[in-house]
Amino acid sequence: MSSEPTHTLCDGAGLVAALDAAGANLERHAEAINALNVFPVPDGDTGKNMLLTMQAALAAVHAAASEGTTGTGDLAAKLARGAMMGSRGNSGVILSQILRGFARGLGGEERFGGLALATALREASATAYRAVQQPVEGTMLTVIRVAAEAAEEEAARGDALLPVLDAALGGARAALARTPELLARLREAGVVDAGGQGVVSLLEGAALFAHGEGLAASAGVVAPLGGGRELGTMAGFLDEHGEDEVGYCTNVMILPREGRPLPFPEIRERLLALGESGVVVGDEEIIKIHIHTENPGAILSEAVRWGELDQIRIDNMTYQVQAVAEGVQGATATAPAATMTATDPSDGAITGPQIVAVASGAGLIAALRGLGAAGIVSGGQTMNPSTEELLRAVEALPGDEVILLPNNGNVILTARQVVGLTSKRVVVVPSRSVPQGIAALSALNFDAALDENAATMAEALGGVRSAEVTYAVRSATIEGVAVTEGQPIGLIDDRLVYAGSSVEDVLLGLLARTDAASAELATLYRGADVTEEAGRAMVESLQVHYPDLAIELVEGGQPHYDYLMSVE
Amino acid sequence: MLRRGRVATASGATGKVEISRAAIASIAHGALMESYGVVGMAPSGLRGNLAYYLRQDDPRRGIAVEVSDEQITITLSVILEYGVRISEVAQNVMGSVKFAVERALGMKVVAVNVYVQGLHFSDDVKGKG
Repeated sequence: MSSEPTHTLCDGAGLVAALDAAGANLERHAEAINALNVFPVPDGDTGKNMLLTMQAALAAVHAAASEGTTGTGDLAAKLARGAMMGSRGNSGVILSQILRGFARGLGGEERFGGLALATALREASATAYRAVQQPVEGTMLTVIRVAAEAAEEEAARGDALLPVLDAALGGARAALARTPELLARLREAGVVDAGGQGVVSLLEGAALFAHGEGLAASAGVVAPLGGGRELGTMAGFLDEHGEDEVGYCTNVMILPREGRPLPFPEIRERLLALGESGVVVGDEEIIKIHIHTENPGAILSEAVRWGELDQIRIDNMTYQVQAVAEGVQGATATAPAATMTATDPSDGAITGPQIVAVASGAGLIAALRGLGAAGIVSGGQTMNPSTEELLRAVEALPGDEVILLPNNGNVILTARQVVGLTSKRVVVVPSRSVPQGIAALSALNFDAALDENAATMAEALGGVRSAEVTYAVRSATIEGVAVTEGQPIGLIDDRLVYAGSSVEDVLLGLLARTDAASAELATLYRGADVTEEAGRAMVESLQVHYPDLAIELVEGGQPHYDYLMSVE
Repeated sequence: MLRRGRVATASGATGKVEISRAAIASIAHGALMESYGVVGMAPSGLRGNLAYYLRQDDPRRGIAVEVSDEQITITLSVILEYGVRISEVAQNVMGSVKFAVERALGMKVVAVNVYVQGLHFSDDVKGKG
């Protein structure tokens, strides 16, 4: 129906396709959005959280569409419900409120035009603002509000859909560009707001689709994005999503196998060579693949060589419409089982509590296993495991008593949620780092009762200071410490305390701040990027400064962090 | 030695600093005001020793602070906007309150407990939580 002269009304199929395009564009920018996070360590969240929320929302929409829901109002209601249930992180919760308001503003209509779109955006903005006592300007709230205002201004001139959508996008972009003026922390870090960028990416995707195909066209998920007029910043997107629509649209997610980091650049290169229109995004801990190919088997065979596969979806683009709906439904039913690797002790005799620990990095995982952790959930600084993943790991173990070691400050609260969700007795020992978790495990007594163990393990945590060495991902001043992009930085108990001229300088700075002079033992866990020789040389030079300190070098294999260190 | 439960102390080379629980509650309140999904505070209710009653109009209403052995535990009684995913908002609140207090005081917050005492329905939806 793109042959109609003007796109005056959007129907249900058009809405689904526009939302898919919005989600696809968010996905494409998720990494960049993660990189906008203000805190200068590789701690990417906003893009991922918004994307996971949007994907849950889209899955609900496709499920409804495949059951015959066609009205835009009904579909939007499903979108809002899915976003709410699947919301992740602060930005995800805000996005879910935006979508909830959007759905409410749309009402129960079968189709909608420009005026209704503006009303829906206005309600999206109002709903988002209502759920916080002191809205902070310069965030995604500002971006959706200005987008709504621009849309309403345009809608006052006429009910045509495209100009209103374009106006909303223009307003959103302008507001995003102003976010550093409104928020000092953005100005200090030299970035625009990450959540605001997410809102812009969603609107951009929808607008791109609307210009390319016409809103009334019922279409498949990601394929029909080509052929349209380019929208300013979207040139790259068009390059990667061409017009070829033959073969199979193959989507799959690769997750690390047994915690081994994924060599992203190599995987990306190999997979892109196997098909057309490929989009491969991710990092060492998760890679998403969208690729058009005549032979989906080859993609899967290559992908499974590197890690565990999840959310596999293959659509024959010739039969797009049916395949899309069913495919998405199927994908949501197979939730992220593969992110977890749990082994059960083979002897079968269960005495005492079982241990589930969160870690990434082969060496760290091996160390935890060696100390008796039977279940390992992969995760850490850049990819916090969900409650569900932890719950699965707990349920997968034999025995009725489980001790959970989150090993990350951000995972402790998630871990605590597991306690109420299982019939097993679960105690969370709040370890904030893998070295702390290892210290806690060392105190484990398999013959002791659960509570007694939890208490001694928690006590063991207290005697360990944990420090980390990584690199700043951008220039910023955080808590009075000025860092420049790429500079080695040191954290103690998750707080940035030191920026140095070299990794050695940072380690010395950290040792000076952990009372190393009076400590007995420092353990250095070298990261995936540090060779054993380099690690040994580092220990030797540290030893010169601290002759009385016992310094141990352990292969950690963790991504992002050159060294983790515990001082006790 | 600090008096258990009354104040948080941090000793330095030139003396010691005492921070009252009310001051800690004020910092938590600031973080809560900007916490997405939280639209109000509720009286603490019967939470045993944690209860820290405040006047109706006190900005620290619904915030209980416990200090023990230089470790801070904060208990929040909040009202959330209807329609948000409660577990996720609660986690976000825990994170931001802990961050704000630790940043301001340089002391460890060992736990932030969130009790969701009610939900608030916005004007356009009938009913009151």
